[in-house]
Amino acid sequence: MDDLVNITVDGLKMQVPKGTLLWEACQAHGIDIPIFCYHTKLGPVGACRTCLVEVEGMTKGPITACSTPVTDGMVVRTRSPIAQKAQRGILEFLLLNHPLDCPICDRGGECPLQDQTFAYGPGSSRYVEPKRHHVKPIVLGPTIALDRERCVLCWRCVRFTAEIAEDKSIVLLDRGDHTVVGTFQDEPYVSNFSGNVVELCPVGALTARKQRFNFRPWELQNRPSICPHCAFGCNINISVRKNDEVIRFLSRDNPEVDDSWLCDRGRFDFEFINSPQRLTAPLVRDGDAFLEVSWTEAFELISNRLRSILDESGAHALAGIAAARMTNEGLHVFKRFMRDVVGTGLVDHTPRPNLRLTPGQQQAFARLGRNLMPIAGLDDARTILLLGADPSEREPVMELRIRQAVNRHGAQLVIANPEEITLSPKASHAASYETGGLAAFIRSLTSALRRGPQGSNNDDSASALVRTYLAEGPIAVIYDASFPGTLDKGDAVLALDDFVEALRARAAVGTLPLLDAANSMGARDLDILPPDGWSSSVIDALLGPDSQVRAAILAGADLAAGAGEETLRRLNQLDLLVVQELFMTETARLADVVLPAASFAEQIGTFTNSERRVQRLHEAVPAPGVARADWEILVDLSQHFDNALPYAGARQIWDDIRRTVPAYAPVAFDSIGPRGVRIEETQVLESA
Amino acid sequence: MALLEFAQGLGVTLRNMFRPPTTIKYPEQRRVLPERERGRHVLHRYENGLERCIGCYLCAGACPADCIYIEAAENTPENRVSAGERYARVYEIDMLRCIFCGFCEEACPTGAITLEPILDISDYSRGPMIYTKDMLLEPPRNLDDLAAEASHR
Repeated sequence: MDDLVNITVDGLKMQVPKGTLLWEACQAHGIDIPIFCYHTKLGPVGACRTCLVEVEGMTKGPITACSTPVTDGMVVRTRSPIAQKAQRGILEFLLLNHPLDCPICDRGGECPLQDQTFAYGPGSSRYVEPKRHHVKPIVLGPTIALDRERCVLCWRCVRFTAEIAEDKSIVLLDRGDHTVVGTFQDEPYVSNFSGNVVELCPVGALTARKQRFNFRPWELQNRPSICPHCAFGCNINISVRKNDEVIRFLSRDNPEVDDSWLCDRGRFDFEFINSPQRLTAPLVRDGDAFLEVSWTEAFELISNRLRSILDESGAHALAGIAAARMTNEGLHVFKRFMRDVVGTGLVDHTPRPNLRLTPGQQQAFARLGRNLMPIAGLDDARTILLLGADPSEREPVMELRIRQAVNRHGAQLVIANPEEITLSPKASHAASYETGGLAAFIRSLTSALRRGPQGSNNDDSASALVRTYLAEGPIAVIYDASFPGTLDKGDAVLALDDFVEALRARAAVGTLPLLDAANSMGARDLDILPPDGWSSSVIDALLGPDSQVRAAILAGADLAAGAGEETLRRLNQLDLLVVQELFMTETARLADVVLPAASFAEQIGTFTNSERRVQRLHEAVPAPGVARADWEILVDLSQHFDNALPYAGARQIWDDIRRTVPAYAPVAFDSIGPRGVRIEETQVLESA
Repeated sequence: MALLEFAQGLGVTLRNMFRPPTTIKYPEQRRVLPERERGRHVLHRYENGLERCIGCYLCAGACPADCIYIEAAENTPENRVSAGERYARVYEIDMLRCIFCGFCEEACPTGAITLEPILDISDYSRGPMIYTKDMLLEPPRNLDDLAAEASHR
């Protein structure tokens, strides 16, 4: 193999790929070298010098392992007297001005500087002069506080804002021992991704203002989960204190999805889990107030009233709407309860695009949903085409992946949007069309494609775009599945499907939709839709003026939030409104029975993200009071009907999902590892 | 022979009858305890009245009985409780769990918590045995007392 080189580290002979950094090679073979400035996602910079090692034949002294690529025959000593003296010296330098206020530092206990000093540093300092002092803490922005005394100038935050988020907000100011981290002219640091610098900071210099002094790391247990805020499905660790309090979300690196980054919404929006306002017991309406009752009493009341309504008016008098943030298990049981236990087909999920598709358009939409590309595939794309889609709004971490694809892998970004979006400055080409003109724009591209190589020599802008950017694959097409701003969404679906078809004839194409909620893809795959699919909406049927619906089960669907008089009146008119919720929402206030549900952090289950990756949720904290998972509630409610549902656990429900949804059939519950399982295109095609 | 032993035994009894008692009439009378007796905890203040405790949780971390519960918060210019940035907003010790080992005292970086020769830790129910911060914290000394103390030395 030409690509491997032989090196010797501390007497251990190893073969590593050419061009590997010395630190990476050592790490892969279990040899630890201290680092601060190097970060696997940010690359080397050689700023802190902690990783000094001795290389035989290097006359100028020890070199930095993090920024030196291996060369054939290299002989490295990481623990020789020269290397040790260098490492110890650097750590002593770093600690000169470090305040050593570890007892009150939020990083104390999980601090790389503490760890490295214990492992490699000097036992004591020779520095007796007074330390440098700064004002602290400095409020850097709405989310981040800065302690300049603790900073070791590793550049990680600076490089994150310069290379990953590319807002270039955090910079190093001044020179020499006066160098400090800050923002230009003390502008506030406002970013969608600011929380990442807290996790990157190897000391306690950057802290989240929301979490300052809230916890000590040794009290916390990290439990793996999935961010519930968008369909991108970033992997997180939930830090739990005393087994019942959620303290923070940390990123859990999944190179195929989030690549270790989180957006601020995902990182900081978790307080709802511990909120004292969570529902803790089933409630039954008593006039204007609610009475706390037992589960059995609530179920008996629901089943009796539901049965009498169904007997009088038939199954179509009941409608059910589930939240698209429910787990696959919750959604599946919801569907089975509605269709098999009480026998109504009026089920739907929310939020979802209200597309109103004709049968032909539905087929096109299904085709689009099948040809999904992996998120990691953005790195291989030659062109990334955003068609009326703004990832920064919908799935923010996708913005970072697109930036990375452009910066590190040379992808060309083409944006078609009536307005300027966050990523616009990054685009190789930005095309605009009139608001609502997405379908016409796509058709102009399609016809330019269909004209072929000769016809595309035309001068019009569509031909130029096709010629320059869509001539070669792989091409990633990202669209917003709710086609914002487009009135005739069905037409846009047809145009898009036709475009992808035409493109596929010329190059490798992958599509990715932007969706509404954490499990929108799961709700779609599990068919939580009205009998005629995407052509109508049960919400319209439920709230419409000539509605036949007399009873509704709303699982996490807050229809009344921000709704008009007419909606409230319709919901109030229902003979029976059952609401499964985390909080006393506006809809729950109108309900006859309110059932307390468990949040995503309180149950076992799965989410399917927008690239159709099935990922596991774990029970991180106990649910408040007697609250239960959505599926548990419905399974127990079904015991009061003739066709009781037989499920005893999430695993069993998953097995039933595998039987009913062919695409999911190959995925065993226990095979869903920490990185999830992506359901490949071919499997979906076979099942179609 | 048996009589002699009987008399000896009674002798011991008689001798002790006229000794002063070893028990005392607690709580009216109090025994003088050694200065380093490990009794109830006291949270101390600096001489300027600020609390020494910085809410670092090291005592809670060191505690083998897991009887210390802390919630920390940040000092503000309007509400300055301790010297640094951080203070203990909640500080509770479950005296029923405490084994009076003194590890908390050793772990404390600021000398905020010490075990003092205070023994009367008892109550009629479990609830009051969880000592809260206001029960543990020594009262702020006023400046006159400090001056008086200084003149006695």
